[in-house]
Parts: sequence; C-alpha cells; structure tokens
Amino acid sequence: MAALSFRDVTLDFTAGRTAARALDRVSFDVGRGRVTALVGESGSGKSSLALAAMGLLPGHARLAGSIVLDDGRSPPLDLAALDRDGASIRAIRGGRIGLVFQEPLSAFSPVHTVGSQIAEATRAHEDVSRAVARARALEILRLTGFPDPARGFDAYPFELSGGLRQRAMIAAALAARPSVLIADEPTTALDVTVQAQVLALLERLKDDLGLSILLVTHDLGVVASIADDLVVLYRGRVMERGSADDVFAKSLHPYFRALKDANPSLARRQERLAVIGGEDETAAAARYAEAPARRRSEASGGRLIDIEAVSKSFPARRGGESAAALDRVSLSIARGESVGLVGESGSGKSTLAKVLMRMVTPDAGRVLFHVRGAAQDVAGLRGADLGRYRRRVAYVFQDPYAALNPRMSVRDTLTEPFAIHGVADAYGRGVRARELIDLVGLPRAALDRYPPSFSGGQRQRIAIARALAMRPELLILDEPTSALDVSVQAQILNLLADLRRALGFAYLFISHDLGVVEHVADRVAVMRRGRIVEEAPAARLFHAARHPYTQALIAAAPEADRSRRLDLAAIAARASAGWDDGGAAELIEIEPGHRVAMPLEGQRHAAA
Amino acid sequence: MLGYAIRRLLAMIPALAAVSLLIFAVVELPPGDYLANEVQELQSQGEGAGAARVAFLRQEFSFDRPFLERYAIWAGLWPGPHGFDGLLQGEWGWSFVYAKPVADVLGDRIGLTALLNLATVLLVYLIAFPVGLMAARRPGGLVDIGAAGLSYLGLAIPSFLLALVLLSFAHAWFGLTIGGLVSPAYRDAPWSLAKAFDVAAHLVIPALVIALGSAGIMIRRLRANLLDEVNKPYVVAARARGIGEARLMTRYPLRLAFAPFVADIGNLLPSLVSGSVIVSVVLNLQTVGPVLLAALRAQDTFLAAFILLFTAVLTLAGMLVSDLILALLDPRVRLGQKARL
Repeated sequence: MAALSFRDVTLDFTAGRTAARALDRVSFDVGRGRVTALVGESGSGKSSLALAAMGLLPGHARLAGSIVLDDGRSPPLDLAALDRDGASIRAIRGGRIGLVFQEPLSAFSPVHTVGSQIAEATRAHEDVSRAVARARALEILRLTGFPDPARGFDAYPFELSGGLRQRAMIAAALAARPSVLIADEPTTALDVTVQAQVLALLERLKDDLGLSILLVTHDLGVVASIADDLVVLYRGRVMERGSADDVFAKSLHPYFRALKDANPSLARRQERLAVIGGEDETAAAARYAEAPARRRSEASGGRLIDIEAVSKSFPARRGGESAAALDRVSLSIARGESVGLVGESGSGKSTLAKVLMRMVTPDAGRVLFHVRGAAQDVAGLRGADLGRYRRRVAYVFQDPYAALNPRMSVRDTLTEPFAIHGVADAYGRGVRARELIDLVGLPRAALDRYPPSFSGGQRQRIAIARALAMRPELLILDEPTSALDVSVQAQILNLLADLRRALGFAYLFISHDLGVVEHVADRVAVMRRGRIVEEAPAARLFHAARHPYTQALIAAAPEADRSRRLDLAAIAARASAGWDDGGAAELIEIEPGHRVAMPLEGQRHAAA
Repeated sequence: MLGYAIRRLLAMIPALAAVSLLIFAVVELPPGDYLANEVQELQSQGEGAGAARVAFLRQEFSFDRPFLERYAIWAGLWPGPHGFDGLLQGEWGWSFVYAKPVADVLGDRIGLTALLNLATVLLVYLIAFPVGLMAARRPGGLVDIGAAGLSYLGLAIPSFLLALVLLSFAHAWFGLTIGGLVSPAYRDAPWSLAKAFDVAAHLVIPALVIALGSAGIMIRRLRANLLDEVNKPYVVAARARGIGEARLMTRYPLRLAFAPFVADIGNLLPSLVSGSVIVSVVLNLQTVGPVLLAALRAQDTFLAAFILLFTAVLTLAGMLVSDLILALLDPRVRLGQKARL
C-alpha cells in the first residue's frame, strides 16, 4: 500500500515564452510505514518533487500528472490537482505531510522561540488551547530526543546545537501528527555522528508513529543505512526504482553504479574514484612534467612544517569562560606528504589552518617552517621573508562560489598572485596562466570567461589553479569538496591526487568526511575540541583506531553498501553515554607513527 | 531586558560628552568670536568706550581662556568667573545676538521643535508602514507603482514650495492662519485644550511636508526588506506547517523586515531637524531652526552650541528608542549569540 504515489509527474518552470523541464514523467510510490529514498545530485529535481507534493511550488511552475495521498485517513486525494493557495492543501501541509528542511537554522525564524513555532503548527490544524498545544509540543520534543523539553521549548533556534536544531525541525514537522514525513537532505548540514543520531531518530519515529518517510538525499551512504525503497533521479527522470536491497545488489544501471563508485569508501581504498559524465584528466597532470628541478630534489621526505604545542583561545562573547579553539596542538608535515585533518565542526581544524596561514596568531606554541635546512619561526617572519613564506604555502577554500571574484576573468584571477608578488612579466604571466589552466583540466578558452559561468566543480578547479600559481610547497585544502556533488567531488579528488604525484608538494587536507580523507591522505590526525586525539597512517587508522572518539567517527560514517549499514541503535546509545578523555593532551605512541591521547585510566590500562 | 536598557542609557553619557566637545569645537572653528566682531564694528564707528565694555565682557564670558577651559566652563565642569554655572547646573548660557539668556531666547521653541519632530517621525511611519506593506504584497501592482511615483515626487519637490502651496490651500479651505505654529489669538495665552488643538492643527502641514521625502525612502526600504524576507526558508517552512497566509506574513517576514525599518529612527531625526530649518523659516515656525541659522551667522557661540547639542540629544534619544524596540523585536540583540543548550 502506498501512502503517497507519484504518477507521471511532469514539472516545467516557465520564464516568458520558454519553459525548462525539471521533472519528466516521474512515477514511484512511498509505501506506508516504509522509508523511501529519493536519490539524485543537485539539479536532478528531487527537491522540486518534495515541494510539489506540498503545493509549495512557485507561481511560474507548471505541474502535470498526479500525486495521490492515500494514508487511510480519508479517501485518496490528488494533491497535484489542489489549488496551491486553497484551504484544502493547507490542511495537508503539516497536518498530513510534514516537511523537514536541510538547514534547520535558516528554516526556523530567528526571532521566535522554537516552541512557539512547533505549537503554532498544532494550532493551525486543530482547535486547541495554547496550553494544550504547549503540552503537545513538549511531548513531541521529548519524542525527538530533547534532554530537557521545557528548556528546548523556550530556546531560540540560534541557542541550540546543530543536532538539536534538526530534532526541533523534525518536531515542528510532526507537531500536527502527519502520516507522511518528507525529509529534504535532513542530515547534509550535520556532522557524521550527529547525522547517525538523526537517522536513528527517523527510524525510531517511523516505527513509533507509523510514519511513511520520503527521504530526499544525495548521499548513498545514508540511503544504504536507512532506506527500504530507493528511487534514483537523474536530470528529472527516474533511472531506477525498487527495494533498496535489490537496487544495491543487482543494479545494472550505469548511473547508479557510477554514483556508488564515486563515493569514497573506508572499506575499499582505491587509487582513483569513478567519475560520472565529465572528462577525467589523467593526462592533464602528465602534461605538467616541467616542474622545476629544485622542487623535485627537495620533494622527498624532508621536514617542511612543524607545529609545536600551539594553543589559541577566543574570548567568549559575553561573560562565560573563553573557549579554547586549539589546545597544545602539535603536528608535523613532511615534504611531499599528504596529511589529513579530521574533526567535526567547531573542533578547531580551520583555526589551525589559519594559524598556518598566519591569519591567526597563536597564544602559545610556535610554527616552524623548514627552508634549505634552516628552521624559521613563522610568527617572526617579516617583509620579504613573509612574502616568500606566503608563496610557499597556498590555501584553497571550501566554497568555490564565494572564493572567486565574480568580476575578475579567470586569466586575471590566475595572474593576480604574480602581480601581488611581483613575479614574471606580462608575457611570462600569460604563459603561466595557460599552464595552470591546462594543469587543472579546463580548456584554455576558459581564461577569458568569468567565474559565474562555471559550475561548482569547475570553479574549484580554478581556485586550485590559483593556489598553484606560485608553485607552493604546501597546499592547505579546507573542506575543498564538501560544497560539491559526489561525482564532482570524485573528479576533484582525482585531480588533487594527480597533481601531487606530478608536482610533489605537501597537502594539509581538512575535512569532516572520513572517506574523503582516507582517500587522499598518507597520515591522518583526528581533532576534537581543539585537541588532536589520535594520529596514525591512514591505512592503519581506519582499521586500528584506538581513541573512542575516532572509533565513534568511523562507526558513524555511512557507507554506500547495504552489507555495511550503520548500527543506528548502537550509535544512539553511544551518543547518550558520552566519554571523557580526562584532559589528556599528551599523545602516547602505541605503534610507530600511531599516537593516541589516552585518559589517565586508559594509560594505566595500557601499561598494565 | 531592563539590564540592556540601563547599559544602553549609560553608554549615552560618554557619547554625549564627546558630541558636546565636538560641537563646541566646531562652533568655535571660524576665526574670531562674536565679541571680536563687535569690537571691530565699534572701532570702525570710533567708539572707544564701547571697546572697554567689550573687554569686560570678554573676561566675563572667559573668551580669554584656552579652548578646553572654555569648554569645561560652558559644560559646567570647571568654575567660571562666577563659579560653576554651565550646562550641568542648568545654565544654558548667554545669547549675544538677542542679549538674553539662551533659555529665554529658545523658551517654547524647544518644546515645539521636539513636538514637530516627533509628529514628523510618527507621520513618516504612519505613511510608510501600510504603504510599504501593500507595495510589497504585490510588487509591480498599483500601490507599488503609485507609491514609487509619489516618493519620487516627494523627493523632487523642494519642501518649502510644497509647504507654501499646501498652506495656501489650507488657509482657503480650513481658515488656518498662515505661518507659525499657533494662531495669533493663542500666541500669548496660557496652555489650554483649545490652544493644544490649535497647535496640533498647525502641525499637520509642516509635519506632512517634512515627512514626505523621508516617507518615500522608508516605503522603498520596507518594501525591499519584506521582499527579501518572504522567500526565506523559514517562511516556506512555516507555510509547509500549514500556517495561513495572513498570519504567516504578519508573524514572520513583517517582524524581521521591521527591524532595519526601526533602526532608521536614529538616522531620521537629524536629517529631519536640518531639513526642517528652511521649512521653518518659510512657514515662520517657532522652532529652533531659524534661531540656529541666525546664531551660526553671528557666531553667537553659546546659543549655536546649545541648539546643536539639543539636536544631538534628540538623535541619541531616537537611537535609544530604536535600539530598545530592536531588542524587543529580536532576541539575538537581547541575548547575544551565545548557545544556551
């Protein structure tokens, strides 16, 4: 039995006389009491489908086909035929179908309490008193796992952590007791451990409340862990649908297989990731064989950067104690080495990168930069020495949309570093710009275009090319792929691997995604609350992690593999248990190259 | 909330001190002073005796002291020739042009100016709020286009011209006397209900004239703020919970769009005060504007400085009010961005 069935849903967005087709004869069912995952990359039309069911499409959208709601509470009802401004669709919204958004911070009004926004949904559908609505909201907050519902009720959204915010969002969607829940990328903005908890919550709610869930996502790992049924959407068309087990086991469809292989995995470490559609430029890096001899000779093994017991704390906004963003962090990067830095949001990864870039001055500790056998203290660099340092250490930002000036052509973007550092004449700069664009696998014609005409992946290539302009020895990559689709991410990761092989520089690769880090890094450091808790060779860390936090991260990382589903119950239990590393900042070396911060008890344990 | 209000009030003290110093410095910036000008004039008329009197006055009003000391005496932080008798003691100083204490020169004008400005601000919001709201509900609709046209008109027509036209109509139709804020019959009468009503009737036209230009700008601003807000995810989310459109609009986007609108009170006041000077001159309004003009031209130090300070106080008060309203509207202002859970 289907709670919600989409039949030949076709959606056009009209602009003047032209129309763009967003969905093309999409048909599938959301089974009662089941989790149906709708998978696709950005632009595949999956969010439009969710909005269509709620009658929330903008005015210039033309919808055809039927979306039948049959949850047993009323005779089957075609939602697509309802007036988008009418009372009957309003009764559906929230009352029969709840909608959970990707970014809970922006999906809550910042000036109203969480509770008032939840209770409001109840009162919109049922004629109940304020007190009853409040009691219901408290009940639903408890159900969604708020430790203290009354406090959560009176909190403003910005006072809650990301995980609690998403729980509150789910509570608001469920406040008027709908039978269907549509969750649009509900965990994309969350850290892996929190994501696992929210997934566990959805699974529990499905059973407790008898919900039918439509889960819109791009993440096959999430799908593998929680979905019963699966629909794959590509450019507005259904590529594949069926039970999740069947699709994962015997899918023959090239798109689904490609999507699966593009996912970096902890289980199977591979040299190259599969890419979808776009070109794969193994050749591009090979073309760049003329790397200077100096770099080559220095490229092997020598010391490059030593971070020594660096601490940094930021004063709290008002009252309260200052928060330590970095607490006696030590980390070394050798020439040509790729070091991964993993941690959840707020763990201090980006602060560490900023210390390396000299954008943040540490309170204590120092950063040593080794050049021609001499060690320089980065904090003491002035004038020409500082300029040299900045040429040797380059930075790639997370968001390629914000990192490039939209009013500068790609050529100007790529040659700007030469102008800043006063290197090369106009002719030499032109030659270098062409080299760089070749290197990142973009056509030379791209030089005369402007960033807005490129896709996210292409922009990230431009940003990488700019970072490479000064032939750096260390490239700091701060979440370079987390704003990109999986298939584009695969292309960028392959490109980075090729570039390193050809040019031999070192990476500091910062990410919250363990799969990505394992793919690119030789050595991985795990950060938590401003401290490095574990550091080991990549191959070793993912199989022999010792610190409970690392273990939790690995356990919570979803795999695009039905046989390796997340143990959601165990994760939920672990989250409520918590752990304490007793303030141990000293890392104990337990194996060559494998160091762990252990609570004092653990150390005694290990010694015994 | 009370703590926030008190903190905000205390923060006004250093601001006032800084502003008063700045005003005093600016007023004294032109070379010479009122007395020096008078000496020149007396000498050109060959009156030696007058010069001796001026020398006495120069000492009496501490013009022979260094700048900072003069400021401190004026502010009442330092004893002058007759002990502490500055602003802090309630002494507003002496006007040379009018040869009267500043308090007597200004008299009712202070209250009337405050009244006119308050009425204008209220009028700006009374016009801008509903019109901006309607314009944003249907962008490109009749109200939107009409409001845009009217605001350009309001900005383009010189306000004194508009004032004269309106006033002549008002005189012809309603029998309002031209000029002034009070009918001649009530000019020297004590305050009564009838007089208050008369003043209110006289206030409408100048307030409307001064408000029109600002209202046009505010309409555009509220409209833009609202259009920004209505497509935000939290509005869509509320709609997805089944909230009705009317409630949705007033509860969410309006409240957020209102914040920058309110924040403008502080900016509005000084522009109104300076903008109203020429209207006041033309309409012969008993406000401080025309007096300020005369005082600045004659380098009447204490009078000019006091009026400017009064304007500054109005502005600071406006900012205080807007900040308090903002804090009421937006918990982020009240609580800071600190996580509680």
